[in-house]
Amino acid sequence: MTIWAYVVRRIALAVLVLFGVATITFLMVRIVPSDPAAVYVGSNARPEQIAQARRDLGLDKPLYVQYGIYMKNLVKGDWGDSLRTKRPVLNDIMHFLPTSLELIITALVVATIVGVIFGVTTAHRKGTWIDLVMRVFSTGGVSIPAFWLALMLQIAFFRVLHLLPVAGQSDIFVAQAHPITAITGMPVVDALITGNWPAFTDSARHLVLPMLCLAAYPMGVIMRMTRSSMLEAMGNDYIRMARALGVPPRTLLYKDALKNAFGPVLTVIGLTFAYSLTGTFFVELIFAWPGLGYYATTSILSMDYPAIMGVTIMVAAAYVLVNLAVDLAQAFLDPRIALS
Amino acid sequence: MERWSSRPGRVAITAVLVVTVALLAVVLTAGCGSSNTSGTAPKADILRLAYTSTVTTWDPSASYSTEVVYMANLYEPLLYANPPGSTEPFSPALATSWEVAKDGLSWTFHLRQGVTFHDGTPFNADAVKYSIDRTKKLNLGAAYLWAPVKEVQVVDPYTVKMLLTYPVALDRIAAASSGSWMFSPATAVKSSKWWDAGHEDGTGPWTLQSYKPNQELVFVRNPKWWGTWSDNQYQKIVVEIVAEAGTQQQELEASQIDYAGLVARDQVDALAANPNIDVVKGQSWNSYLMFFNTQHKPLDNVKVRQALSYAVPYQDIITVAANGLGTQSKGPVPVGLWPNTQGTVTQYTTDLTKAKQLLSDAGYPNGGFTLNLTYAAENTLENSFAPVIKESFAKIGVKVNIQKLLWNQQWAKAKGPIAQRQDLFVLLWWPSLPDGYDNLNSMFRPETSPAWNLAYWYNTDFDKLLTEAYGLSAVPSGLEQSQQKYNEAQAMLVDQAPAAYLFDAQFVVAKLKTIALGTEAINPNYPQVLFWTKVTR
Repeated sequence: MTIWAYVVRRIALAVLVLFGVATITFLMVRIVPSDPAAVYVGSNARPEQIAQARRDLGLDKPLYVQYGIYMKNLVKGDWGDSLRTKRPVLNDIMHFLPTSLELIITALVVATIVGVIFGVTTAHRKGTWIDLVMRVFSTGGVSIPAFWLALMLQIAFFRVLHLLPVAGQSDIFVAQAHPITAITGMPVVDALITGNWPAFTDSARHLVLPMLCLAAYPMGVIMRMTRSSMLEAMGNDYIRMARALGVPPRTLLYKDALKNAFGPVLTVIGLTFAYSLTGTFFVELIFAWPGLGYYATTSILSMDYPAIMGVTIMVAAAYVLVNLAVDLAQAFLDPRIALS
Repeated sequence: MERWSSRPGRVAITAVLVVTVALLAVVLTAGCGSSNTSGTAPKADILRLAYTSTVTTWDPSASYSTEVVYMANLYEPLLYANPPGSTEPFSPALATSWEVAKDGLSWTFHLRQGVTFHDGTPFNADAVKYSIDRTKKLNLGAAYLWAPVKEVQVVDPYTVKMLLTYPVALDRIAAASSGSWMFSPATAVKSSKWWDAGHEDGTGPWTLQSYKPNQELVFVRNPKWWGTWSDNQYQKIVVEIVAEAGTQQQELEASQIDYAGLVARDQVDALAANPNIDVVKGQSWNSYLMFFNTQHKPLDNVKVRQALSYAVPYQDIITVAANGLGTQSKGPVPVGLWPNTQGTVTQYTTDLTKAKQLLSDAGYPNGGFTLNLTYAAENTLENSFAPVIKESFAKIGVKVNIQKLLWNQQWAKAKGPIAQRQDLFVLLWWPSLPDGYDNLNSMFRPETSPAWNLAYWYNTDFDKLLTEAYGLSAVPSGLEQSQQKYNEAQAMLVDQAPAAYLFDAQFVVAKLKTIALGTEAINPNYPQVLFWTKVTR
């Protein structure tokens, strides 16, 4: 199978998956007892206003008709309007997604670098105190709840050490004096691109704690996966041969062994990216980080079903695409992997 | 496993350490615990607020929700309702004087001259007519308040006359916290999409500079405002949307914000102990009730409802949930709000002996029945006191199953099929206008389909009393008689007990000591609102 045929097949499957996700989400949000029309007109609305909103939103139509309309609009790129913000859901998502992506990508980059380096080191130093300490570290990262870690980080870096801001995306004074010109929607990146240094350092400082909180889990998973893959790889004959031929240890570890051990690690990175899209919900709420998670949380709490569906479909799409990218990357790294 | 050279391990650890230290050095030295504001705008000009309030609509005709905290600073009504204890009940806003006809069927408002909307359009009688007519026509939000107004007549450029279909206290409606805003007729060509993209066009002291939904709102002074500015008022208001009370508290303690609009009741003492912070508490029109479903047995029996009213642990609820920041309700209208009974109606006290006796009289000598209680999961106070009620009811043999639901689910269940509705519905209520009539009318009047009368209790005598009392309150000469009728109606509500009136809650906010709140910065007639012009350095 050629790579293009493989990609086309995977994309076709992805469409099916998204169709299934959209259908299940649609049914789930409608099964849950709630009154979307009441959400739309806001608190304290009169019964006649709610009835009018129900007609305006088409909620008085049979469920299968509503479903048909929703799916038709979805395909056309109309994801409906949020019941709360009254803006198109897709616009809302595009507004909040870059902020979350900045957090998630930096967290994953840090998690990958630290996780891989620690994983290689613990495999290399198996059974030593370094191995033990780092394994405790990784177990902690995987098992500590995000909200607890967030509070601990806030106490440590803000309350005790007075080193980092406790929450938010920027300092109000700095943001007002040095407004960031939006290019990508990611404040740190935009500040960097535009050479806005006061805003850059301020945004970067605000990014550190939520990023560390979000990085903890993937870092632990990546480290453990790297360690086990490396141990397996280092037991192979070609590594022994290479070592016997005098290949330097660093080359052996990071070039020969790691390259072969990286396939499973890459899969884990892809999965944790999708995990982070939802894992960021708690983190964003605690750190008042105005991203997709914050949007999703407030939407869920107010039963804003178009927004809930929009976020779900977006996360599912990201999950599917990242998995596809990971599979392609694995094929690139290891040509023996058949694209079938 | 054979031991390899240790060099790669050392290199790896060193690399991580170097990168980490370098990053930390760059980031931390930029701030070191305080805001690095070198070269920034004067700090003193910016007031930083943390709110939980998001915007559900920017349309002043439709607005009826949490955005009131912004609307009240962007727009102005014809009158302002003064806080309790004021000499006069109302202050002039866009109307400088007003009078009501003897029959209460027409009200004349004389308008302030020299006022312009934010777009430069002059404010005049046409603008008043346009604003009220549009709000009525859209029939969204609090438009129902204007239902008694048959016609708005333009008498001259600065005088309007409102003709009513039945007498009402229109001054209270003109001063309401929703639906009363005057906006520019130039917006007639704008759609709801235009408004909701983050536009406004009022006469208020502040204008909206930028709006990032769920994130940040920036307001600047309206240079053409008819009021006067002083040097110690702020130039700019920046609002951060912060949903968590704990985060707001930490930001306040770090001086990252000047004002926290949400304070967890159990953190009040800790905040008050901070030498840099003031905790501000005061009267609000927020009150908690628990409706008894009078359509379900045995709550259709008035003696059972009375027994449960005696079994409510009022003081424990206030202590546990509100940290003492509340008082037991004296009926469904909070103390201080017209037409509270001012102590003339006897309220229930916690008395389990009486409760047991009443249950016995009703044919339930040892209780022996189970009730389903619902409350809104978003409300931390309700979360605290629901178990207290359960525990107290258990002492008289009544078992309570608590269902914690999201507010919309709780409300949807209450409006669903009769058999599936709750037995006990806990509700936080505040009126939409400075008139407790809204409490009585909304929560205890018959409804064609349930909305707020969640006891499903209907009584023709009560209806008659309420109608009479409301009509009498339209003119000053009828107030005394109106109060008597209202007292009778509220006595009926206590006696018939369609709900247990739990407590009137105080508002609690916290601020840095570097800012000062004027006497009218917080006014219970405008729930959750901080009037920014009353905040000074």
